[in-house]
Amino acid sequence: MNNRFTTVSMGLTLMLCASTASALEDVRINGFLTAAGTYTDAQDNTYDDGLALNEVRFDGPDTRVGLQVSADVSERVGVTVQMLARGGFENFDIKADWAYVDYQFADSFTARGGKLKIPTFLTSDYIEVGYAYPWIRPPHEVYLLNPITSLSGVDAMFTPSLGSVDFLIQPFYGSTRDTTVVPPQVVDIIAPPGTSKGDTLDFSAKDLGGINLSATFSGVMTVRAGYLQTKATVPTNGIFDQEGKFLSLGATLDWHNIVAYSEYAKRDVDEAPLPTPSLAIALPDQEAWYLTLGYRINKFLPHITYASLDEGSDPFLTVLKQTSITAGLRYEVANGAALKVEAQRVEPKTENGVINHGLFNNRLLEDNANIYSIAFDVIF
Amino acid sequence: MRRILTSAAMLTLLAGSLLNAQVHAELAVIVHPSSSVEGVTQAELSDLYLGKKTRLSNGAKVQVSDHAEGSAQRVHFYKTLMKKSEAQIKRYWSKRMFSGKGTPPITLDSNQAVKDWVEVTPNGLGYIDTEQVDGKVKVLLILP
Repeated sequence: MNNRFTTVSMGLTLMLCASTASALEDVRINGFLTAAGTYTDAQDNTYDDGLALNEVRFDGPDTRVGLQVSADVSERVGVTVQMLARGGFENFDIKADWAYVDYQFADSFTARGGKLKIPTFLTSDYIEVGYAYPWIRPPHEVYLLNPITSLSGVDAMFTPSLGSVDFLIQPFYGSTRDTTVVPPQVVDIIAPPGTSKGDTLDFSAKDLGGINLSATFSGVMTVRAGYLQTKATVPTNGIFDQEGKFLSLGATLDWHNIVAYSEYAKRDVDEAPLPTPSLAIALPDQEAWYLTLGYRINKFLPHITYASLDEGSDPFLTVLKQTSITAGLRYEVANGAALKVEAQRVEPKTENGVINHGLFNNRLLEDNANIYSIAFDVIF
Repeated sequence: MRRILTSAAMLTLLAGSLLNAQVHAELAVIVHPSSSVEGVTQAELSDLYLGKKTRLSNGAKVQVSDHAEGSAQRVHFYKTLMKKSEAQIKRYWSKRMFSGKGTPPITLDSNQAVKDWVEVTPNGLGYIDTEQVDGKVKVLLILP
């Protein structure tokens, strides 16, 4: 709560600086909005922290609105604030998703400080902007592996070019505080006293550092690799400074009418010696990947995704296992507006007698269940 | 004879309209007349309009201007220069703009608005239909 207040007031201060320090003509206001409806046919169940319920909902976490204000303070210095309000357990509370000052040393070298999004995955730094990618949401099997999406700290972007290849070298360092939902699997298996499904948990992470490397070929294909590590603290559970590491690889292609995305990610969390409570209980070692293929036909982009979430190098009982197939269609309503529909079949993976309910809140009655989603994305 | 004359007239008309279409489709990349820059390559121009560069070969910082979405000039510009559609450009900026990697060029409403802006903006760069060019602006490049 205190943290949220700090970021909001930081954001407001930056906005204020922006408006007083420069002429109004240099201030830019842009925004994005996604209105989404979801439904799962899993009886008396919910999916992915309330992303879909067993009844149609339009106020889930897919529904969100963002407003960005940016201003050039001088030829080299700029400030940007992005305020975000999202449905689901965040309850449309406004928060500053980005709030930073940047300094451009050269065309190919910019440093930033403040509140920044962490570039863990291909679409991480514009993940809230639904219009920017084909799906209603990037495959959660991969994206949920890193619950830390932003940091307070610094990053640098080196963007050299060699012929038609554009490189990005982006190191970052900082710390963060955030709130997450207790994984339902943890409640089922460990049953921590006083904790029930859907409860949220405050956590912090320090010495959060990593790097994002990417190369874009002729603006058509991008390959990337990312690594980050941090020390996480969950005070209510007696977890202090336990180490977690993330590795991610990805590639995307947008060539003629062919659209493809693929990513792989691996999470490694140190297990503390007993009787110390281990972060690995809530965030066990996991591996995940997905492949999306699409083909543009005029204003339509039909696409299909296979995604897999499985145990990592040192599995724990609370590991989440599932595979899913998603068929989706994106339609360009106008320049800057897209309508999307998706149907996803999710199959939790039960192995060695251990029942896994994947991202569902409770064990499924059938082998699989479906998630149906519709979304309208605009940028302005 | 009459037939030949008619055909000749029709050919002239046809050639004229073709020529006219050609002329109409050409765009002139313009800067302030005081600019010391002598020219710009298509690659440099692409980088400027995609926000990858903010300076010309002589080191001068430039601010680029664009035409309004849906205008013939804008569609033609991106198609000729980068083989990209307006929708592709929109998606490109939606990724960059909201992740702090740059802002799209300012947009102006007409050839006249771009020319007026370039005339009063020493580091401004824009593009207009070639027939709108006069001595008040300097032409760096003609896009076919």
